[in-house]
Amino acid sequence: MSKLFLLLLFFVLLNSALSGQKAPIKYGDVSLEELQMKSYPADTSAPAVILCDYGAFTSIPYRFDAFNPTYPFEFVRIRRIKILKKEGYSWANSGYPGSENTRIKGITFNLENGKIVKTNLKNESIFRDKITNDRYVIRIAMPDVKVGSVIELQFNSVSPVQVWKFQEDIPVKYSEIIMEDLPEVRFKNNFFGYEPLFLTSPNRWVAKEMPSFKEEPYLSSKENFVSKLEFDLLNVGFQTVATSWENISSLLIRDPYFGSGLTGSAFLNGLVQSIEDSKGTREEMLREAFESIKSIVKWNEQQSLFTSTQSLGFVYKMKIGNSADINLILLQLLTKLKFDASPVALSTRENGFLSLSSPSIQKLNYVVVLVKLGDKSFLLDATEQYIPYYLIPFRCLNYSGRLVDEKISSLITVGTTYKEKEFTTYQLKIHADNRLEGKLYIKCVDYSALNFRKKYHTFNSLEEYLDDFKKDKQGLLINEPKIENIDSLYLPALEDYSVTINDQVSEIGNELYILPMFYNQLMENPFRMDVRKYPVDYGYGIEKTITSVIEIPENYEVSELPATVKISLQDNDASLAYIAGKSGHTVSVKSVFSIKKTMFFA
Amino acid sequence: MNYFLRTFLVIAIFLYISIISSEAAEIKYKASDIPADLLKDAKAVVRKSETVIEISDIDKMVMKVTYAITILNENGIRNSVLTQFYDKFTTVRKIRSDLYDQYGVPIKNGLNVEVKDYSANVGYSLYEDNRVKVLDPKYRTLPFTVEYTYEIAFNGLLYYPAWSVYDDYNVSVENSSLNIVTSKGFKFRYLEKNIINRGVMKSAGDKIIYAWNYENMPAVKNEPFGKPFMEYTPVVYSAPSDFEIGGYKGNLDSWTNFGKWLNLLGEGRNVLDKETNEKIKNLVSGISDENEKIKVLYDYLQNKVRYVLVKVGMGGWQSIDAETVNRVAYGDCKALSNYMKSLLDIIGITSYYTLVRAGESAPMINADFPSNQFNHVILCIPQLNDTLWLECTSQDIPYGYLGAFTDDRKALITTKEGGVLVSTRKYGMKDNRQLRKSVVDLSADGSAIAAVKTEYSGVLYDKIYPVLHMDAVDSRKFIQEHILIPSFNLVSFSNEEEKSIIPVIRENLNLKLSNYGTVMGSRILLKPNLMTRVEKLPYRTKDRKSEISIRRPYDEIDTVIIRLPSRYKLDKMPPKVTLTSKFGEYSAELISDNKTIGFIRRLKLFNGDYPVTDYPEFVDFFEKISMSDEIKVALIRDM
Repeated sequence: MSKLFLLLLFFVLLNSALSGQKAPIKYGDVSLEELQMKSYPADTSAPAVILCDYGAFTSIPYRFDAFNPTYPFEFVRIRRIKILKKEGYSWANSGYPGSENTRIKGITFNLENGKIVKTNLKNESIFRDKITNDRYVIRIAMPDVKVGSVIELQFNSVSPVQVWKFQEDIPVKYSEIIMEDLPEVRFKNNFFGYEPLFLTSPNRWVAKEMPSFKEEPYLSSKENFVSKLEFDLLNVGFQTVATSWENISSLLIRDPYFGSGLTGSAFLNGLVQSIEDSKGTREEMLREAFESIKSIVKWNEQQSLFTSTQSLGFVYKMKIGNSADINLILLQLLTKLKFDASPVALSTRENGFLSLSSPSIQKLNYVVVLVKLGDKSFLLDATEQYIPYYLIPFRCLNYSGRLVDEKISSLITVGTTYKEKEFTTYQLKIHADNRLEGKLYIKCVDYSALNFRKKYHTFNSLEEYLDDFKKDKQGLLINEPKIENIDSLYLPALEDYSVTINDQVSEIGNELYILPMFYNQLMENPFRMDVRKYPVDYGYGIEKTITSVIEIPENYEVSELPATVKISLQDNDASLAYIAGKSGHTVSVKSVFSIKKTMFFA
Repeated sequence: MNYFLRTFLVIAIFLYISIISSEAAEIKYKASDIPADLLKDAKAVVRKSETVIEISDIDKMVMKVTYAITILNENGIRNSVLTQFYDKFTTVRKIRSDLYDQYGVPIKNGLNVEVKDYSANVGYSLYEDNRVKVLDPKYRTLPFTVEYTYEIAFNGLLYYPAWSVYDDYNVSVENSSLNIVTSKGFKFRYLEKNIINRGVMKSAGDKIIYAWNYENMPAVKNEPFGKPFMEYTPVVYSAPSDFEIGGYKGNLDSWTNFGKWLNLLGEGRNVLDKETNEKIKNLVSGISDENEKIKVLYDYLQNKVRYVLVKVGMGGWQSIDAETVNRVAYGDCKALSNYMKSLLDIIGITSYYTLVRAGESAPMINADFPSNQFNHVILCIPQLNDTLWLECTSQDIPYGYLGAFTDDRKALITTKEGGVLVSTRKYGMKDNRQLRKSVVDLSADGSAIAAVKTEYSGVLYDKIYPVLHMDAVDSRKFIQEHILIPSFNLVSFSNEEEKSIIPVIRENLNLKLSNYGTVMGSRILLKPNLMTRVEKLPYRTKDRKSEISIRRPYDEIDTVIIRLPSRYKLDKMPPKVTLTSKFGEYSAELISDNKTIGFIRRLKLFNGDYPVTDYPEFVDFFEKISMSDEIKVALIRDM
């Protein structure tokens, strides 16, 4: 978008009337009450509080100055922070994105013997850190900060913010953003988050008394829940940008870093020929095309909607590319093989949800391939090494995507019916010294197999993997480890161990006690936070089956078995079944834990 | 149909074509040439590492490097990226990279390669002028080899780079060499650590070359309770005798001289204005006890300033002057220690600016090799019976407390006469204690409520300390994560701090346990050891290389009183467990009357380094502890 913005600077020539709204804050106008404040009533444990965060992108009278070209608009931000505890000091040292030309001023206010004492921020405490050639972070250490200080900063620049956050990890008392609609520069906004705003108008948004934002486990992305506004550019001069999905589609098709990826694919001719020659079924050809691209072009771990170059032939030759490079090469290959294939643009989980009602090109950050084969359709992503063609990576499972086509744009559900399926089986015999001996099998299917293969390959040898596997499994000895199908992606991954388990049988009096799920008891509840605000999101379904078959010693009898348990949430979206039985000297216990729905509301 | 085979054929044809087309080029670093023993546990193999250090003057040096590494698997990919840090005193130049496929065939030299230049600010600093050059070959078709050549020119020298045969775990080394070239008569020093192939010295014209060479070194692994690999694998440290940096000349032949140089750097930087002098004198007027005076000034420091790291130019070595710190009220470890020293100077208390290598598991200082081995500054105040140490960068730690960050190690104090190496405070078994007393009220349905009081002292303070400075939501989360019980409900908690030289945190927890006991007919099964366990257990590994290292001793004393539901009593008393080993002592026993059972556990862990051969015994000791910690008992109901 930075390229687009530069364009905008050249196109905008007119200025418009100043916004009539009165600013909620005047730089330097800190009150005695603010300095006397000892704690923030809404959250007395807060180490600091943002008293006011105010940003305004407005037109300003245009002045002609040949030597110092000015722009007819300006973005001003004023931020006032109260330091309540020493732990809040980090809010006095901060980095703000900016440019070489961003103007900054700041004051630290202290109350000394009832008098307000001001210390100005000087250049010695401002550092413009050049991160890369065109990106700066302005690092500021406010002077003379104490518990009780109020610090204030003002930034003036030509570029407005693209994201305005109403929440931080400390409370925000007041936050306001104004984005004036200039005739030539228009923005479209998307609101995200759980905490509602106090005021929403076309150009002005206000939040009051926002609580601090805390992360919770199993959130799909922090970005989805923190209250914020994202701004999309609508107009660049006379060019319309992001008004509808159809517009976005046609923009993408015409973009040299997207659409050109869809044409000119002579470099694939050899591969096309060899796949056609193999004379497999259509689905076999699909699989072969997918696997070929995976083995030829490796992923550089960059996620992108756009290709890295305009020549995918070059990427193919270099054997490495970003996610768009790889998936658009795959798309071309499939098109040449006469598959009904189209690109689907989406927003990854980390990037936050795609808004259904509000089209936004900025929110798209990834592209995958949709293939229709008879009555089946597949979403394909050839970036990850260990993924079969019918699975899509976890990061893409963010509910929706947009089919990109010259003429139409339709909503595509980006989900999966495949699950994280895992079958664990213990077949053990209790020996005289309470030692258990026998077999342990773990079978991983679909997402579970993918996760296992990824994990397994982070170790440099089977031995290293086993060291890690045994780490949290007390008393486990593995004698003949076998791991099967580790590289056969279309078969379940199997772990097959001959095991001795030393201290999982408790002998108390003349009785033996066994926890029959051994190392697979669901030990911890991850949702320990007492109050949960945001929905639980798993991405895909889970099904875990654990079976234990235990042969007990001849001279023992089964005196008590665990009770059968069946728990399920509404509509069987999540369920747990636990069944135990015995026959002669053998006890069998089976538990099945399943999650069908992927999102649960708190 | 075997589609893998077909895919393979397709690839093979491509490779064949690429081999033919580049026939003329030189074949180098074939993956199949790597000796088998270097492939074991390896994610990558260093094929060649040549370092030539040419020292031309006390402030001028050029380091020339050729480095070739074959990447074997995905874990090794990050080892294919070259990252070289530089600052005002160093320049990285003449970077070249060449890429080879597994057959040793060159892949378009430097075509896809771009040297990127980034700011190298670390997380805890506000701003540093350090930058980094990064060269990522961006190649993922395994295996492949990347060869780098580059030079680093030093303009100003305080230290010479260390040379290590290994640069990572799971990376074996086929060939590695170091040559240090100086003119005849130029004096510098070196220290060989774990070196079997001793360096050789040869003369070449008017130069002298010191050379080291290692071949076929198998990969080392990161081992549980081990030491960092630099402590048990071959390393050559070198250091200047005479040196100059940023216009400051010095000599490093002795710690004394190093200290003299630091004094030179600090000259004139501890003067405070008259007003501040008066203010400080007023603060301590009427106090006669020296310790009280220091405490008042330390309080003043902790309330006045905050830690902010800014490093520009000589700022890596030289402190910001006290006057500036006084005005802006922030600074880094050098600035704040120097400021505190200046405050103490005003009231006539001697203190020493002290260099230390900080970090909970930082490598030991090579005491017989004077050189810059430090990364942090604290303050040392000699006293009649004891030595007081002040960490000046924290706004809240107790007066005189160092913690695991800087305890028990050699540090360089700078007296007027120069530097002296001394030891910082060691926290012993008596200091590092965890005293826990739990009272559990058990109900007949297996649920329980528990009140747990714990005192953490000495370096164990460090582990709970963060909670003292968190807001309500975060502190609750922190406490919940530290409770080693599978399922519980935290009803309430509080933490209280005792700010003494050996600090203590007193924690109170009130818990609801919905399934502390498992009811089975007329019995209830439970673990009397409520919540004290060994958090990280050692596990068995093969071919261990590193010694066992336990840096700090501690003593855990636990009492759990379980009040039984009516009509229940203990079914059978388990025997008392007593374990004694060279690593520590452990005991656990149960006592019981009709209404309660009591569980008493004690673990004393000794600090020390133990040879590799002790490892099986070490694992065995912890396995037995863990077994005892998990022991279950049954309660039985009267009929």
